[in-house]
Amino acid sequence: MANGSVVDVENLWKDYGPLHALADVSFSIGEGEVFGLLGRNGSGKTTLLRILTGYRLPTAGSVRVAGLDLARKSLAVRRRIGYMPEHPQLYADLTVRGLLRFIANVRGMSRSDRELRIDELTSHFGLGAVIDRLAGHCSKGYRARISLAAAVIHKPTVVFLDEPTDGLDPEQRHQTHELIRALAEASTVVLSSHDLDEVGVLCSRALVLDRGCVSRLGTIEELGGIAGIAEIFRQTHERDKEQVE
Amino acid sequence: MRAVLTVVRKELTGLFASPIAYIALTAMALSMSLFFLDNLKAFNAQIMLLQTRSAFDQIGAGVLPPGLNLFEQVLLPTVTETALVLLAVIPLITMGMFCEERTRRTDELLMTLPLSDTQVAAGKFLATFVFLISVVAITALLPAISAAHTGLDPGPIVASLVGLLFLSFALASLGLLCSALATNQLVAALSAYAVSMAILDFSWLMEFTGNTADRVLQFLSLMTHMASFPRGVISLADLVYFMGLCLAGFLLARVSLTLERIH
Repeated sequence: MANGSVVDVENLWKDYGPLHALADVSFSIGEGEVFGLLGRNGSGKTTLLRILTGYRLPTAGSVRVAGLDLARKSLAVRRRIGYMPEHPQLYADLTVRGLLRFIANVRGMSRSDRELRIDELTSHFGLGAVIDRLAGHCSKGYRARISLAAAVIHKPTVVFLDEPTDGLDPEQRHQTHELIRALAEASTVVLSSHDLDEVGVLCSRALVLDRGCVSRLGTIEELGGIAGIAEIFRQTHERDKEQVE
Repeated sequence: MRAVLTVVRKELTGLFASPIAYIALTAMALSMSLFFLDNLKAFNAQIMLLQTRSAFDQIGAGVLPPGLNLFEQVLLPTVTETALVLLAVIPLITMGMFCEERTRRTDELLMTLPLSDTQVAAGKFLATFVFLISVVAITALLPAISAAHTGLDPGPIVASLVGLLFLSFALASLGLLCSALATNQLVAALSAYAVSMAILDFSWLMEFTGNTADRVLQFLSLMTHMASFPRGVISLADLVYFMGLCLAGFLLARVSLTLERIH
């Protein structure tokens, strides 16, 4: 583990047949950071998050989360992380309370801790109105909040959020940003997004992925702020357009 | 173990929330009752006919011809027919167990929780087995009532139910494996039907094979291992065969989960 870093990724590769979804990706994330993963659609953000959360295995390279090697200690890593997938899909046959109980039980929480934490999250994430409704039938905005609550129920060391505000209306986006800010007070947050404003507002550092490779890495200021990152995006877009032509 | 039981509870909640569970339970209860009553009625008719003939001929009164007994005329056909209904119903129960997670994309949530692939597979297999215990239990009602009121030997009935239970576990394991491998529920159900039908009885294949292959095919047939249960015999070899199928299904389903992570 690099000094003070919670996530260390070294020479990570992921191949889907002849396609390199990730190619030689290396970076570190420090403790307490809100770290942005940026890139256009298909740049490899979701693949990277899926590997960091243990959902998919890399073709080559190493990942350490909270000082643990993901390849060797996958379960221990998954105990220390929380994950909100892109377009969170929740179990249609479980109520929101049932879903949170299921996740808390899998994570080994005692009954009293679990109930206390569910009450805490219900109030913090404003889930009171839907807590006894079927989770899969809730609106998009509620599903995002439920998924966020499920990701942090065990107070994880690192939280991975994949496009947490995608498809939400401005009010719901604002609420989710507030929740992420609050989350960052206790955990390291890794946020994948193609929304530059969101990353500019929430993140201290960011990694820009382009076709599975690290294009830029640094603080938001080092990347030239939102305008600088937008310029990087414009250049890659122009290049792709030229290649298609 | 706690994590596995948590998965079992979640899967059972899902199963009992789906209409398929109630369709399966109703189909099993109805079909078993109808088969049992129908076979019993046919058996009674034969006895009545025999008694009339005996009284008329004044010979052989009170002696039943070989093969005319409750086990061969009632229990054996009822178990065979119920086994066929199980074969039709079980793929409907198992088709969504793994497959639905992928199509609804809830697998991303499940597979990033601190659960090993073995725990996920074990939870799903155990939940299906628990559900099947309730399915077989519901089929036991009528034979149990009949046994209580007619003095029928309960041994063969209990053995038959044990046989049906192990058969259903084996069929479910094949169905769960198909669900773990298939990309959608329809493919999972159809492939489970195909595999179950193929190993149900290999006698059709024996016309083309030699003696040694015949013995192997006979051993591999599901129905070969169901034959002794209605006679009240619970053979260890039969139980090992069914448990072997369950174990093979479980291990392959577990491997498919790991392969999915690699893919």
